[in-house]
Amino acid sequence: MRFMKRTFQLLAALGALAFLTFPAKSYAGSDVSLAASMGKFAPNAIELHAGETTTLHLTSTEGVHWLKSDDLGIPMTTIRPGSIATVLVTPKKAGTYVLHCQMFCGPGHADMTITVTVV
Amino acid sequence: MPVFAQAYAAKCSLCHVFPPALNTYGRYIQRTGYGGLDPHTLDRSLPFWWDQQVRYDNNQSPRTEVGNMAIHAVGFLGTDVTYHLQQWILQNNKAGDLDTFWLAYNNLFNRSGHVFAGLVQAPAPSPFSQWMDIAAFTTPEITVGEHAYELDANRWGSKFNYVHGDLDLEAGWLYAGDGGPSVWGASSNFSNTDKTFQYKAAYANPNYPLEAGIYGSRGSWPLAEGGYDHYWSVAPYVERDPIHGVPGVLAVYQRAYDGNPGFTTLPTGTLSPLGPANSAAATLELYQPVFDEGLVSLRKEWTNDGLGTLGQTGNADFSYPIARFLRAYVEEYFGAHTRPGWAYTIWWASPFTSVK
Repeated sequence: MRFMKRTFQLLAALGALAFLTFPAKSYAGSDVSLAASMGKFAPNAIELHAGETTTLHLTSTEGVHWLKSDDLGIPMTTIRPGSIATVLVTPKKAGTYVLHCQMFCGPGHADMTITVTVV
Repeated sequence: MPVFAQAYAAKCSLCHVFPPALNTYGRYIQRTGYGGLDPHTLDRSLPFWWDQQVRYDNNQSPRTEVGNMAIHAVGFLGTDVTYHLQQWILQNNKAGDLDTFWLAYNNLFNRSGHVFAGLVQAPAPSPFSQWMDIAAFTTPEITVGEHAYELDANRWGSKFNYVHGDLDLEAGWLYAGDGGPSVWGASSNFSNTDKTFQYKAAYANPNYPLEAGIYGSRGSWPLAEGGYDHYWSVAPYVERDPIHGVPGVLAVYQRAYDGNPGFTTLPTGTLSPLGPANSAAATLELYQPVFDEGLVSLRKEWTNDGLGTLGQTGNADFSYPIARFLRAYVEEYFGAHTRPGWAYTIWWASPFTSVK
């Protein structure tokens, strides 16, 4: 039993090392980190490129929030404190998109937006 | 709730104007039975917390009470059922009672319907259960004849809340009260106790500071001399959170009817029924944040029990956080026929552990 546990721990450590050393190449394009808090996203405006995949790293410094955009292909994503949600975005069309927090998250919710400019 | 704030990495101001008074978002979380929260995020915290209060009142004996300690358990069972338990360990320097104990199912009508069962908060304006002063409200506690209306009490029973958009509809079927072992004993025999249908209908949008609506009740109470006393009440109210420098306000006007308020003794020594009584009461409260995290509040209340007794009470309060989880409340109060007094409360409310 102990041998199996040790083997599992060793394999897990090797897996983590491999992941860190050889990041997945499918994450083409750039990375953007967003932090949500009460009533705002930081940054509250980002720029993406049409046809190019960008990885959004979403976390919260206060409260729980939801982000979703049918136009940009962002599924309903829960943004929680203490964890990072990763979303791949490949915009199809240039334009300006204003995304609202999708749940009643607290005071300031009505003004909680992020502007995504696709060029 | 400290554990909610802990799990959400949020300040108290997410849900409170100043604890325990709730802001518009806190009232939304309250009326949805916490079903509006994210269960996976709440997993970051243990669902238990405790609080301890030290109270002083110069008109009470003893003036200082240190024996007020309660434990609380709040959270989700799965993703659709929420619960809230509050058990006083010590209360008023004595062994404590059960304060709150309910389960709620939150996945009705696309998560807009919430069914509660247990020792629940009666349908009424939120400040009646989460008020901002040391003094409790007198408006929903009118005593007429043989009993007191308990429109703001936690009572055994069930209720259904429909919360969707701007709409808050609540209906509760309630038995007895929460007032300690004697009432608990009475409530174990539901055929011989106070039974009430209580309702609330309100405009209440979690995005806006204004809430306005009406609440009321119809009920019956077993009379000591036999038969039943039937009563009703109705009360419009409006509440607005303090924003942009404008003080918050709670205004309530309540009318009530009691079909059999009791007896009077005639000169001959015989008892004569008093006849129906129409009572009325009003509350006006203003409250304003000061010094960043403090709150000043002023309350005035008028009561008419429908039997010729008029009453007026009032109080001025100031509350301020001393440290994390520790808050102080100071109050000056007066009544029509009582000595003015002053009181303070030091309230400690904290989770048991840090976030996972």
